[in-house]
Amino acid sequence: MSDKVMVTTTVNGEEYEAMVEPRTLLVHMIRESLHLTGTHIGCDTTSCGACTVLLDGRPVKSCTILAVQANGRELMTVEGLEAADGLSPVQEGFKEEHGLHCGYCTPGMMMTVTALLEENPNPSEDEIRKAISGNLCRCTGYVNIIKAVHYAAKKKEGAAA
Amino acid sequence: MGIVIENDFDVAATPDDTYALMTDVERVAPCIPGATITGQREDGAYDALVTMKMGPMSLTYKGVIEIVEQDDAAKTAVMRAKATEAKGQGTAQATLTMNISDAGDGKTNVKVGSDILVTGRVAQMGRGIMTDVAGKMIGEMAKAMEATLVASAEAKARGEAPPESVAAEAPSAVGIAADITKGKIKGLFGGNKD
Amino acid sequence: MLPSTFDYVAPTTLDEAVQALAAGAGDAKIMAGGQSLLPMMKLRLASPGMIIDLNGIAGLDTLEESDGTLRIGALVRHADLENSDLVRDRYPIIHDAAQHVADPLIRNRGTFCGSLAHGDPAGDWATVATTLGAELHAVGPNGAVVHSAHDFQTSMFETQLGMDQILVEARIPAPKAGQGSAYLKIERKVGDYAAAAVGVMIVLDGTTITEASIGLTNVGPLTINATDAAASLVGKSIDDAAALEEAGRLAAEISEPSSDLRGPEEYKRDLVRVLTKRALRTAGLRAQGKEA
Repeated sequence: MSDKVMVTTTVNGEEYEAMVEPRTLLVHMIRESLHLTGTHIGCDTTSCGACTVLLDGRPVKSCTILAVQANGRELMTVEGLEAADGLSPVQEGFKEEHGLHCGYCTPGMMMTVTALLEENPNPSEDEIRKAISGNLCRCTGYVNIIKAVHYAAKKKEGAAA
Repeated sequence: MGIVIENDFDVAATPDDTYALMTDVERVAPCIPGATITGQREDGAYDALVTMKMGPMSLTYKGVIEIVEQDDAAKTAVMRAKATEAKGQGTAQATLTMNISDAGDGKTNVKVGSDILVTGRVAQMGRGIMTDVAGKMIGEMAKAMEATLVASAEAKARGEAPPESVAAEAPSAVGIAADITKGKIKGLFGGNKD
Repeated sequence: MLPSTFDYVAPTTLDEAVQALAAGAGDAKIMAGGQSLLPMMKLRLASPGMIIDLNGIAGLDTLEESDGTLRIGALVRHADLENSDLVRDRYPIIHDAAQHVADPLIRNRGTFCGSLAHGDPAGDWATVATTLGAELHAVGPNGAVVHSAHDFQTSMFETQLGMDQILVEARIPAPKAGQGSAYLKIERKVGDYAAAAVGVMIVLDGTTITEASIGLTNVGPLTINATDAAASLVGKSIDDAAALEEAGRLAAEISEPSSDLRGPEEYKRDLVRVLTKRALRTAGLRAQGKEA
């Protein structure tokens, strides 16, 4: 009936295989089959964005995608942000500008802004607010998150120079 | 108090016949869209099943319908239905207050006030679709009640036994879009005074 | 929560998808973006026995203007419409509405056609499709079927799409000379349904309105096509404030909003009145090639 199927994905540059039911959500495959627990589950209604990952470079809510739909695709999770030489500019920005309190929304938030900066290296505050409007934070009031993004943008610009 | 809907219609039948039909759960239940009576309890209440299908969603409410108040002299009655969704999608409770009076000219006026309370995820779904679903169902119920009364009165006039109650159209089959664009939406709730 | 179990089919051709749908005998659902269906399945409000995933079928992501028509394929995401220069320049009502559909993450997966097929009574795209007179092209076991956006939605979450049909493309007539359009939505927060939203399309000859179309979102059980309001504008000048006021009044009059947490009925009616006027003014500026 609904036997398990093999799902092959490239996550943070590494190939993974997992046997999952068709009804398994991508976020559950990431957390439980691939043991990448940085991606969080914060709601049951596709509202909060704590589960945000990059699917073929686009930020999506992994709780509202079936794992089987990611077969053959590329994923990046928060574990993939850190480079060999240290934190990514976005991670550093969140650290330096105190862009988190409890940290629950943070992985999803960082994935969204990482994708934003790839597409728009110097976003305005309005553009940042619009880009993160699918990621809810109950702690920070978003102000320091925006500062973190500006920090990261400057850091990336400096690194590119 | 939940969703409140008022229906008002006149039928070509006597107040006595109308009252008798409206307080007979077995004959009135089929007028509820998607309803089937599955049995009767010792205390006179009826077990019923009401199924609703809306696109990918389908709900099955299992519950009890009974007349809880009845004033034969005044021709008023209160019918209550209490149900639980079979797959754990919450509950539904409806209280129907019926007032039957002589409208003159051989007609009877029927007023049905419905108070509907729906709990569970489906009640929170979207923009509050349950209000619209309830409105639609009650509207169809009122139409079916009227049709049943008319058929019953006609059969009586011919000296025949009352026919089967008219079953209401199940919710998924009712198209209300056309009614809205033609501005006829009031007809669903305001009663059928032909 | 988890969806209940289902069979999963990932066809690589449209024919396979149509066959799978027929074999599903009413218990199968098509999935493109899944951003409306999966939330229902996760709450177990919907439990299809089979999911047929369109994402593996090539050629369903067409977004182009050809032969006097804008073609929006079944796999065109809300974000694709939001980011398209063609759409922004030639179909601004679509561009406007796209900003307000759900949130940016959902827009990366959800699809325009999927949204129409899902038939959410408060959906923004249904208003856009009605206002622009879209043609909805589907395929079934007996071949191609075309539905008009005007009659497409029949009830809550129900459309004219037969249980064995797949909506593969929406086609929108290319804008005429002097055409302008706009969509304005008031929502309490990002991702919410509209407290009220209005879509308009007008065609100007000089400053005279020769054609008009007005759609209202979430102020009635389904999208409302405000035909009287639109008809009242034909022959009037776009600069005629009284004509715009009258159109707003008629649109508010035909609406049937419910009082809820988004506001009382009177408030929503007034939103319709004001948003209609504002949308008409914006559409008018765009029709004249001016900055809106």
